[in-house]
Amino acid sequence: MNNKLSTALLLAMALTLTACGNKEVVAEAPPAAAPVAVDNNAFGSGYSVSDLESMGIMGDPVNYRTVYFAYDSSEIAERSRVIVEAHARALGSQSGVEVTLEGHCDERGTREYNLALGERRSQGVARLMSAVGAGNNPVQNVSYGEERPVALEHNDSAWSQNRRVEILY
Amino acid sequence: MKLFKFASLFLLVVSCVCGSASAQINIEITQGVARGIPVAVVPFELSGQVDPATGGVASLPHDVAQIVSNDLARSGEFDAIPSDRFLSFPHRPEEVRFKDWRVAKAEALVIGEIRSLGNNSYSIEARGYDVFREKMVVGRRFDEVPGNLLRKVSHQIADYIYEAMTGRPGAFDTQIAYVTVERSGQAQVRNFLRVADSDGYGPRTLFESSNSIISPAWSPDATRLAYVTFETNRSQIVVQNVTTLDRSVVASFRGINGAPAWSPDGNFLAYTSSTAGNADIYIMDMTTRTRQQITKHWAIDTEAAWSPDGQSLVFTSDRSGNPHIYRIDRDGSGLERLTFNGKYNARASYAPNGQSLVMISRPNKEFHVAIMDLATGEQKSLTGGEVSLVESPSFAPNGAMILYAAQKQYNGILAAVSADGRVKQELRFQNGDVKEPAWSPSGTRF
Repeated sequence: MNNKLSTALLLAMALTLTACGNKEVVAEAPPAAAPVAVDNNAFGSGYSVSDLESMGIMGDPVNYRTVYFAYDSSEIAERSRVIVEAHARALGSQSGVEVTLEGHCDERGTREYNLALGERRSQGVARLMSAVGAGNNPVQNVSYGEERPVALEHNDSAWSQNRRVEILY
Repeated sequence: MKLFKFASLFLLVVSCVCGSASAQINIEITQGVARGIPVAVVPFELSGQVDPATGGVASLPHDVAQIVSNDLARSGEFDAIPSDRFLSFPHRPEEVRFKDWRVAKAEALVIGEIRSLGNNSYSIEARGYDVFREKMVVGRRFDEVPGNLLRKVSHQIADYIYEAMTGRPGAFDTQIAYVTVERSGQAQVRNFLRVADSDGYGPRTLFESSNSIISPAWSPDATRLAYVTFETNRSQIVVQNVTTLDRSVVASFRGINGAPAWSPDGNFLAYTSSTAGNADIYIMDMTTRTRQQITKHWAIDTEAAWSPDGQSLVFTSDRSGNPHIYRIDRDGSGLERLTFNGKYNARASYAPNGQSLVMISRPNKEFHVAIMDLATGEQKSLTGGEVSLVESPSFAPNGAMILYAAQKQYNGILAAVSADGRVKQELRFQNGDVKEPAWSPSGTRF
């Protein structure tokens, strides 16, 4: 509720600012100053813009192509679910698009176990995509285990960036 | 002659790869036993064919006695006595005066002579003595040794001395496979699968890729390596002959292909495949290429390793919620969970005598190389804070040492620890991260 209110306020402020910057618009009667209805389904995500922002998603979730995981886990967190569902919806309206889901792990633990864990992560994303209805697009699951890190340091921050599935199409 | 067939194969290898060989490896003992067996290795006498160029006896391409002495010292179980403490320099049995060696505080003595036969061929006699018992404990003669096999014969002499003095076979005449990663900038990564002698001599490249190379596994006759590449942007299992360098893809099925492990008879390859939906253990008949699924579980099953008798496998499974070690008969029956401590036990393999397993364990925050006694189930960490992120432990074929990869000061290094944890070594490479070591089985004796 608080989130929705603050979103409304932000939007109202944004409108005011826009209005100030553009005199011509001001000349015309400002649109009904009635509280702006909060869109609880921003970009079709089922969430408001501010809820998305609180998950670290700025704008349309479909612009994000990487989802992250907890240590030794293939569980899909809320942020990841929003992003994956956005891609599923985008793909649902197309067909014949080849989708590759690349699963990755951090460097901790053994390489072969991580190769399997990376695959389990990409399969989890694939399952969610098809549950939402990603259309008839062929989906490839690929695992690189811990072999293709994006961050090369040996610390928590690097590890959390490396535990990921990349959605490529 | 059998000997010459072997020698010509060896020549072929050297000529194929000498261009790609890189940095020599230095092995440094970082922790030794309090006191090793004091051994005196007397420089071998060289006689025979005169070198027309110099007028003297042709010099040896390799210092046999030095190699023997270095091998024994590197094991951590021997202390090499410096030659300035020698009172005499015997080469033949009748020249040995045990009193001289008691004064030098030697418990073991190695002497020998080398005859140059011309045409880069040598005959070598080596003898080992127990100084206390005043007795020869080993004597070996090697005939018509080509110059390029002098190192191999030197390692075999060290193996005989080691066995005579400790009662356990040596593992000096062996090789190690490993992967070197060289980065130039963020994007440029070159991976090299390499093989070197167990003392780090003569590294040569078997395969190079811009993608990762993991899980090298030696065939029991030490002629082939199975390993995993990502050269097609998917994991696949390749088998490569280390002599001819011929390679062939043996597993490139849908899903992941990984963790190859040869059966002790060399006829089968256990591996991990997710072709049926998720990672399970399979066995491939290497003659017919037929495949048999061994585990069928929704959990991750991977990292199979054979028992020395070839009747069962250990593997990693997270079916309990965390990765642990399980044992299963090779026909897929008789499943048994082996580890219960901590939340992470993975990549187990058997000691050559079948009585213990070495694995990666995470008893607390850090990953350790741990050894587990199969009779008692007791687990013991062999590594501590000196290294982190340990990986890929493998036993030397004599079971004395365990080779593994680790991170130290932001570098990937190889290290070794004795099965009792008392001796520790680090293998120093000149450049690049090093990972995925595998100790070869013992090769053919001369």
